[in-house]
Amino acid sequence: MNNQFFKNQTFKGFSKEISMRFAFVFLILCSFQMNAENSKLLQSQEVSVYAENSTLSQVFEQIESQTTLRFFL
Amino acid sequence: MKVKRLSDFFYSAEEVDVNQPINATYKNVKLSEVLDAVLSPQNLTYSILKNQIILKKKSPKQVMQTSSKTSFQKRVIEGTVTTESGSPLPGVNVLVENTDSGAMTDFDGNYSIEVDADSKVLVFSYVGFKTKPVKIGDQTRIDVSLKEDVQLLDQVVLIGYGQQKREDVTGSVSSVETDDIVQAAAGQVGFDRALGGLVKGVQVSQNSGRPGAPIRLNIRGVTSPLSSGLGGGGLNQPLYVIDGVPFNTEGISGSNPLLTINPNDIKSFDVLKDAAATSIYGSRGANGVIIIETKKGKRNQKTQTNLSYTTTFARPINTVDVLDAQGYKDYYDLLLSNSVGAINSGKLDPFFAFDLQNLGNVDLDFSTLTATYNGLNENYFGDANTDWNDEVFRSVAISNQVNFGINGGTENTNYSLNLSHVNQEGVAVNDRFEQYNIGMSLNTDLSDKFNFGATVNLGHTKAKSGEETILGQYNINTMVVRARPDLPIRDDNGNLLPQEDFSNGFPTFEPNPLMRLGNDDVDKSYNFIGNGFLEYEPIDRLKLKAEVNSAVFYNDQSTFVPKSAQADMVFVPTTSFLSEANSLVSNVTTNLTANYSFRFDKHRFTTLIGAAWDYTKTDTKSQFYSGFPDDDYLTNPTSAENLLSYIGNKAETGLNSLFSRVTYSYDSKYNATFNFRTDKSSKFGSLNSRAYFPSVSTSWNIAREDFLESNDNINDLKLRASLGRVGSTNVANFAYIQFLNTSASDIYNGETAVVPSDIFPNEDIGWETTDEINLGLDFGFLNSRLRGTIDVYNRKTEGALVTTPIPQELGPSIYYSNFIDVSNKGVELSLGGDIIQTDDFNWSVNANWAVNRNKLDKFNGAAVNQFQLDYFVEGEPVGTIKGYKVKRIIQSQDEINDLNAASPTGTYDQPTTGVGDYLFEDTNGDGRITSDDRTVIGDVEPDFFGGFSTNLNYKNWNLSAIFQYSVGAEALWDGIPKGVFNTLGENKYAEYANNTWTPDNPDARFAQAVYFDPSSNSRVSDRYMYETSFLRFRSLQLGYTFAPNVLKDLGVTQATLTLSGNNLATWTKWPGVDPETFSERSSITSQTNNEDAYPLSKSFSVGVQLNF
Repeated sequence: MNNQFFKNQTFKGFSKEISMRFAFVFLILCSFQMNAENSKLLQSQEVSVYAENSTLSQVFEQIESQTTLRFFL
Repeated sequence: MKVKRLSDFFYSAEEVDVNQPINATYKNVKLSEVLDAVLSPQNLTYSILKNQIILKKKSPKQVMQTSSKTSFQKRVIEGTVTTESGSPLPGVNVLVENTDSGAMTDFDGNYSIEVDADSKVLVFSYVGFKTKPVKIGDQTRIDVSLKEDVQLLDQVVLIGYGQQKREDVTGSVSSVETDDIVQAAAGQVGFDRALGGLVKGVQVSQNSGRPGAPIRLNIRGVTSPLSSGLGGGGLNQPLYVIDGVPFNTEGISGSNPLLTINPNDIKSFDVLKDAAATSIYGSRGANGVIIIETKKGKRNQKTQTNLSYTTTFARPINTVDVLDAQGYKDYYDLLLSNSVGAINSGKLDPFFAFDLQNLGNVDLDFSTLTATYNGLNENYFGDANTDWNDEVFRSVAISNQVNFGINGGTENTNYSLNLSHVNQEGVAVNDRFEQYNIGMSLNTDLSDKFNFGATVNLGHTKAKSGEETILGQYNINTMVVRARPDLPIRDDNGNLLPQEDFSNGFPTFEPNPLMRLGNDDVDKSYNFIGNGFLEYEPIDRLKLKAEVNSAVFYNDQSTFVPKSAQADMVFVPTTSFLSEANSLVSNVTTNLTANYSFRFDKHRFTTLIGAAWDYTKTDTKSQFYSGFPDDDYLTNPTSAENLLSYIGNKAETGLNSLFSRVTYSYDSKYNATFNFRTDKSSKFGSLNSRAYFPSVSTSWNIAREDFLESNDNINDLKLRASLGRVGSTNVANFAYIQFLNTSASDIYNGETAVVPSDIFPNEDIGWETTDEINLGLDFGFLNSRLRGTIDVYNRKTEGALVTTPIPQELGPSIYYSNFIDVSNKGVELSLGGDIIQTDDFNWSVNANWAVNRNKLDKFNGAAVNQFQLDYFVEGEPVGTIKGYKVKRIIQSQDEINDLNAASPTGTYDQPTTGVGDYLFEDTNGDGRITSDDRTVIGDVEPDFFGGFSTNLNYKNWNLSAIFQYSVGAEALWDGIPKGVFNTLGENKYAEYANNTWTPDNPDARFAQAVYFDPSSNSRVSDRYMYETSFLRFRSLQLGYTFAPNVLKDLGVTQATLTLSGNNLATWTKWPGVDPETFSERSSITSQTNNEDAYPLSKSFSVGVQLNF
């Protein structure tokens, strides 16, 4: 942390700086939380799969066609 | 279709074969179920990030868990069970509600259970934790954290050389929640700073806010007011026992040795208060004992790693309120006008007019010796308006703290390693503090019968400051108060500008506050607290233990005071000074103990016998140099012109002890503890070297009686009574034998001579003994939702050691003797309640209140010096403030004329006393004011003190607050009487300058401001004394704990984000900077004067704690 930066700074500037840092950390952690919620939601959508002697990739294709989800490795 | 690779970051090396054949048909089934069914047989798992499903190979462990067949009539639920702090819990029972089907968590806390499609609730249960039902719903993964079910009665309390269930405790022991310590310590260094308001009956005063400075902590009052031995001015600090290592903090110079322990590493914190509880520590128990155990790993626990990081932004809690440039000029206009008036009324010597001419247009008529005043001398005053508070204090002081820990255990061994680093800026410019700590512990069963363990705590601190302590210059706030606001900080060339004032009429160039802060003070400490033991259990329940404990505190201090930081008296040349000092205090204690417990029927016994050898070595050295060629480079000792003094002291002391304890319990209803310890100290002569410290304490668990056993509302009700004796060796070493010494100042025939020391030996000195009776009641109602403790005590100390002057003819000037008797009586109360307790929402409140009445019973003829007598008055509490009582300010000459006429000497007070001066009360009625009219006008003992805290939990949120209060103590506001002398040119406290007597302000608090204070209005009086009562909002913390599954992919079992504020508000009538801080000198007597010490900080911290 560049403490020199703070030294001659006004209190107003200082509070802005803390708020930004705090907001940054908070946002990151919020995004983890949001992703968890989102993933729960996506997992609960209903799909239909018909796979007789198919391959795994065909199952993925069917799921992709019914949802906005895409498979990645 | 080709499944794309997301990136190398997420990609795992193994290829996934997406062309494997598969048979599956599902209609309108949840995506998660389809994926589980399809991927599981392929040993694949997935996670969803935004709209991407990322496929991964299962880890071998996951493969094992989900090897069971998946179908839609039955499905598998997996998850991890952890404690609240994120540690995995093995062996937890996971049961489908209302069925027999269940599973158990493995070593890593993972479980996998097959449930019917219509199963609704899973129930998680584990001994020592609250059972938790969780709705299954659509979830296939349920991660659960279980809350510890802390029943107050099952808590274990450390009692010295052992531990006891809280239920069985018979003495007065208070425990502190470690969470509270961690919270209150956020943004500060040292756990002791966090204790204020947390423990009933423990008075914590942060005497200075300087980073690393020690604090004053007192348990149940002062027992030895003048024990000046070991450098403690009657501080009566408790004995600390950290991981079994006992040590006293008094007499250890430099930074606070308690900084060696990081607050985050504390596992338990117990305060032993009454003599029955502390007598097992015998001669060192008189001021209470604080037992701290640091965190160790647990057996059968997977390795856990935790990391926390906190950034703190701090400002001074308060700064001195001084006059601005205009107010400053207005004040001098008033002062000059008053002073000229005083010359003309004969109150002030006319020749002082020459001094006044420096600041104002003052003409003296030599024929009549009267003066006239025609406004300020504008040449003297500058036109700047400098706020020195803004210059000497940082707008924001930043500190960063990192803690890292690893702990864990196998079946036979547990271990932990904790590292921490603090880098803290002081709130004053040029102040910086760094700290490095390492804590390690290891405990292992060498065999069935042998157990070995060791703990090591290492600490290094380095404090840099712009203030100095060797010459006793003004402290930072006094600098600011005196600095002229009308002058700029620097001259046109950018050099710091000194400030002209007139001390005693002579022009003096005072360094401005920034120049004064140009000292180079570096204080380094290297501390070690550690122990090692070997325990042998030859037969069941008999434990023999050999233990070596060691505490080593090394301090190295160097202070350079440059010329530029000192007042330039024009006529007296200044010189620069260097002080170099180091001190080593090392202590080794060896304990051999045997512990045996047995029971028959309902009788339960534990016995302990032990022997201890304690060896302490102190070695201090210091050198003091002067005369350096320059202020910046040649500042090492070899560049010094003179070696002014050198001091070296070495001492070795020893304490041999035998101790024993028997505890007895009948059916857990009736408990008794007997302690007996005998100590032999090398500090005392052969006549008194041994002393005996017995104690007995009993308790009656009324709640266990048949008539209450069935009562669900009363689950704890215990009466305690105890009686015991403890002592103190916290005195100077070997005061019973004659010391010889030699120093540069002892010259005989031009040569350095050996002379007897100043202290006359007294072979009869002996132990200070403190006897104490304690009665207590512990209660817990409504399933411990309302709980509390009341203690009442009476402790009497006899023969407290004191140095007493002796006739000068003898040569030495003082000797030690056991003269003083002191008593402390008090009541302590703590109450706690869980007001709301639901699954999602909890609200609890805790409060404590204590009152201690200290009394100096007898001085027994101890003739302490006149200066000290003001603080020690028989029948009054130790730390009295003696001074004059002011009736009013004299408004007319007639008032004083009448009093003068009635006085036997013709003058009531000073010959100059007149209008605008204080009218002191003639308390002895002899018609005149003499020093005998000074009476006790206040004391430093609060009427009552304590704290309260509240804790709110809502789902993942936590909000807690801690308050501290102290009511009814007084102190002198030191800066005001010192400023009444009115050195010309120095600035003033606004509180004083705007509140002096003038004909227009007859009800002013302070007397008329006149140069040189001719009527001695600066004499200590109640006008300079204020109450130091305060209520302080110590700490507020908002925490958010992320659900365990959120960060699981990163390997994080728990993540907590905290935002805390410290010292957010203080409600007080104290007009100075802070009622809690008083002085860096920090002896009992210095507490009577509050000199606006280095301010505490108001701080905000942001912290993240992660457990892996």
